[in-house]
Amino acid sequence: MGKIEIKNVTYTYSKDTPFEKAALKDVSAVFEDNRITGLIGHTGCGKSTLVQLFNGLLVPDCGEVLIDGVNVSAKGTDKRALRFRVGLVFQYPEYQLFEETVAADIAFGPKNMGLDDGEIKRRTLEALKFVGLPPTILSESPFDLSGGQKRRVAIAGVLAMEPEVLVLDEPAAGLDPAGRDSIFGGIREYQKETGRSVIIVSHSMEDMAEYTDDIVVMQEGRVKASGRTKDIFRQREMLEEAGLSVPGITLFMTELKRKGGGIDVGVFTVSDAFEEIKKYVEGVKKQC
Amino acid sequence: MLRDITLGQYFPGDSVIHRMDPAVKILASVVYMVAVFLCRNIWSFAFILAASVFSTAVSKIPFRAVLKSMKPLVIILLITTFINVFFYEGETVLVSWHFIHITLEGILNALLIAVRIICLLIGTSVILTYTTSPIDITDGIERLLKPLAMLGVDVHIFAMMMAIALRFIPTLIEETDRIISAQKARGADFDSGNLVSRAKALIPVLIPLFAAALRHALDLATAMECRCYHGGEGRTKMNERKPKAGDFVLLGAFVIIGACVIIINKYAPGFNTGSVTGA
Repeated sequence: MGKIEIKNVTYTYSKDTPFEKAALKDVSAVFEDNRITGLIGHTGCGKSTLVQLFNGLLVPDCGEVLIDGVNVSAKGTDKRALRFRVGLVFQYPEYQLFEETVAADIAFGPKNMGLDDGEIKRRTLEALKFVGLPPTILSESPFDLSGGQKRRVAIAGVLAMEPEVLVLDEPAAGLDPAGRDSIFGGIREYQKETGRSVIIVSHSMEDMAEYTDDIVVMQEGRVKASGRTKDIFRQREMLEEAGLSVPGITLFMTELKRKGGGIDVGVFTVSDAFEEIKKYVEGVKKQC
Repeated sequence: MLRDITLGQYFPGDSVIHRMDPAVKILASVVYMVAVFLCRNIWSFAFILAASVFSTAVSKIPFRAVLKSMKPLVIILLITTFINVFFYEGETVLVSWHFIHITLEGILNALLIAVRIICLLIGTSVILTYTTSPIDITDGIERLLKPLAMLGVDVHIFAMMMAIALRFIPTLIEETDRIISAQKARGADFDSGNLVSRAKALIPVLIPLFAAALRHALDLATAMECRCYHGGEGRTKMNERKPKAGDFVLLGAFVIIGACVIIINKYAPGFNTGSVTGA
């Protein structure tokens, strides 16, 4: 459950004014279910616009958005019900908190779904577990928390709706490395445990290499490439054309190979690189 | 959505009106407004309407954009027209039923007042708001208010506050848009229920919006202090602007329009509006 298909979608902002801007031009893409898909692209390539089509916040000028084969961009679709199926976490979601307590803020979405108190309580605690916050935080005011904690509470507010597809726009922007790892780690755990789909928009190639199964690359309002993460990061020229790069560790490995090491450059995470270099060093030792 | 609001929006362009000195433009729009209020008969109204349309053509602002900006005005137009048609005391009674008397004068008066409101909007938006960036407008106001400095008014601070306020309108609109989207994504419902529940539905938008406004204000204050902002004393402008001959020619054109209205009022025959009420 939770497969999203985009078919020939076009979207233009401020149509018929001097500020008209085509954000998406004939975009087609598939986001498979039960896995984490990364959406990457240079600033202004239309990533954030695309994710707002998933839950009906924006309606495409033409083209179709299909969720599990059903067109949800058609007129007469219940947009509110759709928003509970596709949970969208915006950039800097901590600025949307408004309730008096963390518990009430996380419960905002589930309450709008019309769930009873017991179910809301269960979902709140489960969401807190995934974002790595203790239940004691529930009675605090969201405005007294640190930036990172606020971010987690906001993400928990969407997780608690238990959407079929979870979409996160730059969930780790502006966080320190430990904060990034913990947020992405929680998302991966959530995906594994629930088997639901997750889509992550990000600028960080390192995070994408580490945490995603598939990647969709966008450039200037079009889809440039899509496929398994390891296949995408092998295409260095294509990524550079799109204004992106491969992860830093891959660049390092390429350089190492150029210096004469017989190693595989198709590694994209630090831990894989560690294993690869260890294997190589042990191989050299044996020859001695 | 909110981003489609066009009232008071700047349309970048390169026309004679765009290039005009903003201070002179403010004077010109005042002259124009006076001219609109001086109109007293059909001919002068026709003249001022033609002048408005002509200014729009000169400014190269698309007519569609000007018409679109009038959308929020429709209700006001309808109400004033309604009141004038039904309650104007005229001589030529067309329909009389109980306390309602529709007179020929009433209908004409209603029409002219509608034209007056439309002209006011077209004129001021084409001369000023559509063709002048907010920063230029505040610069113009600052220069026009300079004489007040002698009375002890801190004109620079006043202009700076206005510039900041204008500068933050689009930022806050964008922010509002974002917060609305985010709360909608959590199932917030703004379009159904009675008045009370609709007002309540705005709380999830208003609280983050206030928080954002305060955050922006504090950030800006810090940024200004870091750059040693200390008010207008000894402060110079990057682009000193002096009105050129061409600016006065255009201002003169608007004065002539006003003069024409007075002449037409006096000599052209036709229906005269009895009062200047309703606008």
